[in-house]
Amino acid sequence: MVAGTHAPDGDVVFDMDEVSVHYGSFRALREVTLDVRKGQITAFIGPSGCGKTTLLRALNRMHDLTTGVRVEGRLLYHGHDLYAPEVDAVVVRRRIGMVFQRPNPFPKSIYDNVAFGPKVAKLDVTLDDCVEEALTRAALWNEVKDRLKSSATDLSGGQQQRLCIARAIAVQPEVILMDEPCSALDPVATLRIEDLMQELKADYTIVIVTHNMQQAARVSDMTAFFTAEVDAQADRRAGVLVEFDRTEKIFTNPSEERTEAYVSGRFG
Amino acid sequence: MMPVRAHFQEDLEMLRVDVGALGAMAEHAVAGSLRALLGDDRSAAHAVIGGDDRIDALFVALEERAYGLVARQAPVAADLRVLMSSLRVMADFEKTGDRAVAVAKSALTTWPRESDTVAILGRMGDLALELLRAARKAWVDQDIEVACDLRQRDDVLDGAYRHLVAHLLAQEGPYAPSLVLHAHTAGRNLERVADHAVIVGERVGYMLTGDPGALAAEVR
Repeated sequence: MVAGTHAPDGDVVFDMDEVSVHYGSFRALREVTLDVRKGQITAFIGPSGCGKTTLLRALNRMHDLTTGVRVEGRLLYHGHDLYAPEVDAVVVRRRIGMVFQRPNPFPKSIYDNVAFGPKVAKLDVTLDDCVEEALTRAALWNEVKDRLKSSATDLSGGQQQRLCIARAIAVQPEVILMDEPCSALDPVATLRIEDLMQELKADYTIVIVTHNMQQAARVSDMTAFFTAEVDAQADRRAGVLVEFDRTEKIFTNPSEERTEAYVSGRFG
Repeated sequence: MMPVRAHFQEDLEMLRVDVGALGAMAEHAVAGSLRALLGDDRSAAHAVIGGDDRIDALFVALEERAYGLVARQAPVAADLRVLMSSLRVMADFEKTGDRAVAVAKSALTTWPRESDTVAILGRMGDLALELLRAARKAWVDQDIEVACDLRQRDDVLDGAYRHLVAHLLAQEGPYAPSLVLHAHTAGRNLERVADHAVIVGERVGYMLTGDPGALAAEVR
């Protein structure tokens, strides 16, 4: 058990109990127990190889797309087992969207990028309205409204990433997972995305993986610190959750020495 | 699109405004302690003493908020100066509240209220309160002119304090020890109220200009 595994307040969106992720015979992430609550930004931080992205990808069944990956333990989404055989992974990914490290717009127009998801999902919406709303929520509408038919790849990196957020929003998800969404962006574009996250959390639950500790400190309500330690069973390093608490607590007075050492830059 | 880091700017501004509110509470306490001291208003004295817990509680809450912002936002440049200055100024306002309590306690004690001494203390009290008001205004309005003026105005109060000391040293007779002890304590606390106000002014100067000379001036 680690310090503070349960987030206070708000409905539980993800309830994880001793979740482990295996790549073949190797257990990459070991027995993580934590809650993600509605309307909060939860950050996963930790050094490379600590399993934070592995856990994030387990939250919308991205690992299904990789052969040999196995998720163990209990991972409930609103009380329902996310990995139950009857659960459709495609539906899961519509409810739980993902924004990746590098902006990855389709080589199509700005409009088509956003309209693609609702079209494929056959959402009962007016596409023009849906595109406008998603771009507005992603704080991009004013910059692109006069050139919706232009290629998305002509946008700046920061704009492309906001477009990817608009694309995720367009299918009306409840959760947005962000895997180092600013690592390819300059500082100003990074701060724009961070501000956008603050706007979005009123309507979406956000989980973000970041290498940038200061980013976790700035944007998140809850922070989970992971590290890699030698797994006695496999004689290899596996990711473990060290501490999960309010972000302010993690960055001013963490309960665990390893967290303190990491956030103050003495380790990792 | 909101300005970049709009939420942080909002938090910073809220902190600055709330430090101003702490200053208003300190000002209220000093005014109450003067009513107690000069008008023999015992209920005002009790109100100042009892009210200090609220000043302390707000100070602790603001300090905690400021630490949280430092830890989470890693402020630099003007933002760093605002945050560090907030920490300094809130401490000065909190200590001002403590000085008001000390004056209120002096007011509750029985000692001979010799009229000239009371007149000098009254003059000092007016000056101290004026300086504190100006310091709070400089902080709230970010008014560098008002801030810069504070040190000069403090010289007037220092003059009044020296006058008080000279006057007390000249006292004789059986009532003199009690008068000197209590009047000097009250006067010394009023003089310190003004010193805190001057420090707030210097800190406003540093916050607005980044001039390290303002930091040096604080400790002179």
